[in-house]
Amino acid sequence: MGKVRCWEIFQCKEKGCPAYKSRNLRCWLFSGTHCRDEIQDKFIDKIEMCLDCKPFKKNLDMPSMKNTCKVFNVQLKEYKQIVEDRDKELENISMDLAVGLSEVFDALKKISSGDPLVRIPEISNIELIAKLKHLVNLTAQNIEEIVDLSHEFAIGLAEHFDVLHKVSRGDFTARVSDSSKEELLRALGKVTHEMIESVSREITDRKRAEDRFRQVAQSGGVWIWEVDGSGLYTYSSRVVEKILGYTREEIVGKKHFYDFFEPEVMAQLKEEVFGVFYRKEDFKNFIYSSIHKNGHIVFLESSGTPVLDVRGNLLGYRGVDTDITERKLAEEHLRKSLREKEILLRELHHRTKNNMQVISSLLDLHSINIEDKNILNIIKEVQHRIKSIALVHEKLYQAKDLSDVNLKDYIMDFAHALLKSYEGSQGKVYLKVDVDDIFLSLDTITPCGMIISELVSNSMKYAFPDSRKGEITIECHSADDGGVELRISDNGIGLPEGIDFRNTKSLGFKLICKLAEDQLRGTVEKEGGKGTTFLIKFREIKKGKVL
Amino acid sequence: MAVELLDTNGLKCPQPVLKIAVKAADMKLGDILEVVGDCPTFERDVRVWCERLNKVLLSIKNEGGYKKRIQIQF
Repeated sequence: MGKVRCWEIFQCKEKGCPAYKSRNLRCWLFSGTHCRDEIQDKFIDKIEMCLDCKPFKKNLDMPSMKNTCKVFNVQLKEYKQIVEDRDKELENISMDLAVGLSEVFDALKKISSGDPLVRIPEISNIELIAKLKHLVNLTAQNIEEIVDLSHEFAIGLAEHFDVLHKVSRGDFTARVSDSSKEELLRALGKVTHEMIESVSREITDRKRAEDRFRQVAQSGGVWIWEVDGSGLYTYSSRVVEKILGYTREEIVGKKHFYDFFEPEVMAQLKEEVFGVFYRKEDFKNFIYSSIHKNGHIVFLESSGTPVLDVRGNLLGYRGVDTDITERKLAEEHLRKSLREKEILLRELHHRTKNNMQVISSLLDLHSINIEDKNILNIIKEVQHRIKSIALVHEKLYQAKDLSDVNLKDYIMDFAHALLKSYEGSQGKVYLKVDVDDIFLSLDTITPCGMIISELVSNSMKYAFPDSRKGEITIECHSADDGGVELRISDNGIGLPEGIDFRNTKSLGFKLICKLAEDQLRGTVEKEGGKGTTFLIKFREIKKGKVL
Repeated sequence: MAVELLDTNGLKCPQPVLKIAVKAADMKLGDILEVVGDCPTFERDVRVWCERLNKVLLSIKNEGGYKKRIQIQF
């Protein structure tokens, strides 16, 4: 059997192949042949291919087989060594893997049981295990931080709980420690403290108010009550027993507010009060009468305010009643007494006026037998003065208000009567009156009337000699400063030259100055111009005081 | 003076402390609360709670593993 050349039978042109045109025809023993278009490895690696290959079959003889077996053995040993080395390596890796995973599992177990402090060494021959251990440590570290935080919050919460519990039992000195490192807990502590202080203040204020309320409710004659929407008493202070004779127990839940009204006015008052209920209005100082348990009438002054729910629906009313029976009786007594005094005063003024008229009439009687004109004039002047005073009393008892007289009415009556009393004055001397509605007291109007009497008498006597015609004007107005300005003038011949009215012997002028300056505490001055004009300024006098 | 028992076994932080806080509301001055727990941070948590809330930590007894028995006086 002839030997073959592999490049020839396969018509191979792979010049780079170590077997190509080699003298050694044991091509299978060459490493790196280019068989089947691939670069082959050692014989042991390509043995399956070679065993079926023609050159192997044709060229294998005894010597080459021996050589081939030798090569195969060497190459087999090499592989065995590699496999053994790999086995050892794998064994080590498995061990590291098992130990590492055990450590990881153990750590995870501890973490899951609630111990975040566990840490494992991050050393391992296996990079993956080292990384895994690192992740476990990181996880434990994070869980530790979370546990610390939740722990801090739990302790903080427990502390708040404890403080609020103490506060709820009335201990307002309880405070949360501000030692927490967590900002949120410190802020919560601050809010809690503010809340406790605020509640403490509120309770202190309320307690004081309640104390005051209790003192008022117990000490005074103030009856504090509450009724529901139907008017049924839901609360009553004990004072009610003093006021209406019923005990609190007899009223609360048993009586309506209108049960105490007098039967004659009950229907009307009930309607009135329920009208207030309907409008949900406050009421203040509502005066009504009630019937005491023993039957007598009690006057009460009531104030109340509606009690509403959060939606504004009326729940009832709350208020206070004060027993004003004594005050009412006192007022009635006072009114009666005042009426009696008014009647007496009116009678007094009437009698004074009558007495003055009697005096004036007596003077009239005396003047019948007197022929001396001077004496007659004196008597007339005295009568005028009496008349001026008597008219004040007449006006006073005719007035609605016994204290003040309308100056306008007074002057109109008095001045015209004065004018008429002078014989021959009709048709010659005219009276012009321009007076505001000024109301003056007895203290003011009496001197005022006498001044008018003196000045008008003077004008009548001296201003229009020889039956002259003329005009006397009386003006009286309220001044801007609140005073009164009385101006009496005539268009007669005027006062003789060089006469100082303050320094004459005339009783009339002396009286005018005295009355104006001393009694009215005002001023009197003579104004220039034609005729005679006097201006008297004064203020209202009440009970001796200038207003 | 009463002695109350609180079992927090199986509960993890911070639940044992919160349980103690709730129970504390019913305790009177001088009462003793005995708490059993097995959370690894149980002892530390109770110590901090007592310190912050001015309670007296009377005793700590190890019962194996993480399990502990702690007495607190109010």
